[in-house]
Amino acid sequence: MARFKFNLLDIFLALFVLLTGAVVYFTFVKPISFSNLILREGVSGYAEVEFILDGDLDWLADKIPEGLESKNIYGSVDWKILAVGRENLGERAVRRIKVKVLLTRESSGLLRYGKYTLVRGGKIVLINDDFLLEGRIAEIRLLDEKILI
Amino acid sequence: MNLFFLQCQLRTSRFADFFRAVLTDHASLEASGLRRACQSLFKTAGNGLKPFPADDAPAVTEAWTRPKLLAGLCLALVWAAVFIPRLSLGGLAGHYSLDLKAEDLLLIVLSLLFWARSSGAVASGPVFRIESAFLLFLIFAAVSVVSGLTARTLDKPLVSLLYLIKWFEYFLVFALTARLSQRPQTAQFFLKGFFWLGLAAAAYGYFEHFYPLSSAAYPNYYRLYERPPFHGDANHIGGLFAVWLAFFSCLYLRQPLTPTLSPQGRGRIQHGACSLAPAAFSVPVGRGSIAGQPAVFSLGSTGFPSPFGRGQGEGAVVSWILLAAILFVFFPFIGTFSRKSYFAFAGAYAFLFFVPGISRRRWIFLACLLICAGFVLPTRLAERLSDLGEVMTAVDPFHSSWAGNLDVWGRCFWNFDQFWLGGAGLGARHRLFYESQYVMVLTETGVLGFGALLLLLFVPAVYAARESAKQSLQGLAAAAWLTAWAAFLIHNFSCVSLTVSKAAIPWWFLTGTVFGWLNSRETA
Repeated sequence: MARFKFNLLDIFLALFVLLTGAVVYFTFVKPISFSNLILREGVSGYAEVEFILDGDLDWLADKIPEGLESKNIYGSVDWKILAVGRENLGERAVRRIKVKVLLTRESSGLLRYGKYTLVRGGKIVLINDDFLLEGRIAEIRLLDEKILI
Repeated sequence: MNLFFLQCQLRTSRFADFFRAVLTDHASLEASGLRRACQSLFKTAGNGLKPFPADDAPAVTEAWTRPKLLAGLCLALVWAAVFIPRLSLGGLAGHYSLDLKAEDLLLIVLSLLFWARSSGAVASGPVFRIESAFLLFLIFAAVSVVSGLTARTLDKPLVSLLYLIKWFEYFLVFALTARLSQRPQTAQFFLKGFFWLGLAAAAYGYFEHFYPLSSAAYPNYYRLYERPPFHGDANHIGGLFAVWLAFFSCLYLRQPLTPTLSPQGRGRIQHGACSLAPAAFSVPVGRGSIAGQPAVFSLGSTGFPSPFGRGQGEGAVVSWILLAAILFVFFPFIGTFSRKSYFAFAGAYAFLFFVPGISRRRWIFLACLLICAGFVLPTRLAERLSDLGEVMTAVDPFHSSWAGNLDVWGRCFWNFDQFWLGGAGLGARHRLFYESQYVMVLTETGVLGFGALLLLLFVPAVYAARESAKQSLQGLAAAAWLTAWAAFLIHNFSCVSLTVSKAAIPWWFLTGTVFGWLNSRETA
């Protein structure tokens, strides 16, 4: 078979130039929407979560400093304590903690913090090197803060 | 039907002809339009850069590798890829974060210099078949983006384009290193640079071990190389170490090259072996060597004694130094707590047993030494490996990383039959989603891209396997590369090592160095 006279690099570069034009068009004009034909990773975001601290950890509530946070290895805030309050549920006094958490919104719409699904009544555990806070979720509110990919 | 007959059939078959025609053995960079564009750009700018003389191909490569600056720049690029953290330039279009990396800038400078000064004479050789396989993969990766846009499985095409540029960068690292390394001195300079790269990364590991950047409450592991200047890179640096350890273990274990060479031949090989050495480890060579050449990595070759008491000379000292270097890197390697990297190195080490010319006695000695060092000393290696059975049998993807991988891979192949040929498009998902280079390439670039990736991985391996049997320094380098390849191949099963620059750039640098040297017509 005779040798073809072509340069693969030039073919790639020609494709690349065409692709660059297409990509600029598809990125800024956005003529198509995602088809949902593939399952993908969840989208990261922040939410304010309020949870009731487990009763056996009540003694810890007064020792939690406001602004206490835990960062992940990329330097992003993983969770941050926004407020620690007291509340009466009937005759029982409980400790309510408001926290900002880095969550993942899955394509199904579920919100997850690590392995915990964020739903009201769901369990949440926050750990850093000084504290382990465990409780049941009372409220969840998604924040607008964007995380760049 | 014997082997010879089969080889003849393969040589004359149309199938093999087709591959030889597509994976051409001609250099692509020199014949590319980019070279002409680059040169006219420099001419317009009045730079006055003169191209190198175009008498013949080896002369071109020799001429353009002459400036030590280019070789230094290439080595700096690899070091920058491992050590210099990315700089954030902010966001784009509200979704994308733009990062600047030092190696990107260095590569641009290096490429421009190459194209501006290349004479355009096209060289040929087996190394350029690897280059062609790389380009074939890049073409199918570009086709996959079109496929993804058509199937609407890509909604962030800019990310895909950036991935493609990153792969093109890896191609350039390989292609430029291979050209520079056709000069044996440069190849050996690069290998020394790679040797020191592993030691420097390990030295940083010791520093971080003794001065940790944060605390990790027991039973959590404090994994090295996760925090700045690194960026969650324990697995990637673990992969780099696995490759490094495999490569230098092979150098350490290789038997004496040939004791029956003529005095002239002995001298030549000895000279080459010596020049693989890091200068700081060099010791003067005694009688029978080329005057003034350091003797490192000779490992008992050319008549030097081994560390097992077959004599007492500089070769033995060198062997001990190399053994010490392997041990020095081994502990930070454990400190990554990257099980996939452990398996990669263990697999490569087992593979090494079957590499021709390996000293089986040394193999057993080194294996025992590493096992004792890992399990007897307080390294937590045993603890890290002891829960493996539980990890492999657990079904909760949030509890077991293996179950998590299976879960993710199952999700990757959902609807795959709808775009099996061209794939869902490069960059269809975040790279960290996959935890496997092969799953990533297969699902993103389809069967076409995956086939091209297999060619890219196996074409050099076949070439290296053929060369590794030769009793020469190039043969030694080929055998060592083959061992490193085995480590990298295993590592890619559960890590996207060919995508992440901290593992991929050193890998393509090492590959370019070894194959450029193998392509050289000069004997070391």
